[in-house]
Amino acid sequence: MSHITTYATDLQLNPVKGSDRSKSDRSWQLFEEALKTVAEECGGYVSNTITNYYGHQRKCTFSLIVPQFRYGLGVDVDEETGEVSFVYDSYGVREEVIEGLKDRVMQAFTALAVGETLQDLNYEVEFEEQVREEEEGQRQVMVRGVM
Amino acid sequence: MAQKIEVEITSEGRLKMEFIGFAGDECYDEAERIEGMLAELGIRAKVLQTERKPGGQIEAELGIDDKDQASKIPTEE
Repeated sequence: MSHITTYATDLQLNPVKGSDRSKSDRSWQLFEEALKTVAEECGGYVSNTITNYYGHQRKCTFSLIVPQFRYGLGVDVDEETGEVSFVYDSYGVREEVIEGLKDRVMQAFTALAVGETLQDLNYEVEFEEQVREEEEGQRQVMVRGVM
Repeated sequence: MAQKIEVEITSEGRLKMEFIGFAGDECYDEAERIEGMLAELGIRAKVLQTERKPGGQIEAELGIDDKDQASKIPTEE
């Protein structure tokens, strides 16, 4: 039998506080890798502070600073639960820019995790990114594994 | 026939996983394994829909042709 399954996904990194895991946990590393991928694509960088409209800085677990959102998209990860939340000052920035960045981070993370999983199962993996013009430039990532 | 898994990741965070060239229930076992490994990496995947491929398509993927099928059909001597 062969089949097709569609899934909804939800992100929660592995808890690191009070466990024998550390921030070198693979889920944390992959998440940072996803942020770096998006930063590179957008001509930005990854840091751990964001700025608000008044220029005040705030620390966070990770932040993504890109030209289209210079205040930065902050990410707080709860070390006890692994819960991921985004934090930012959206003043003067179109919400779709911020939502687009969040989606790209989640998509990059999922693609990296799927790719790594298939590799661990001994598949030969390749990635392909497609932008669908007919769906208002929606990006989709294909991960193919061949055994 | 190689076994393939094609995974489409949409910008809304949906995953569409297609299993190609798997015999029997192997693909369900593989899907379960992948779901478990993704959970270890922080992705909880909830099944929205599962679609079985039609028999003809599976046979084509597995490279079973009409001749092979004919040889499996018992004939009266």
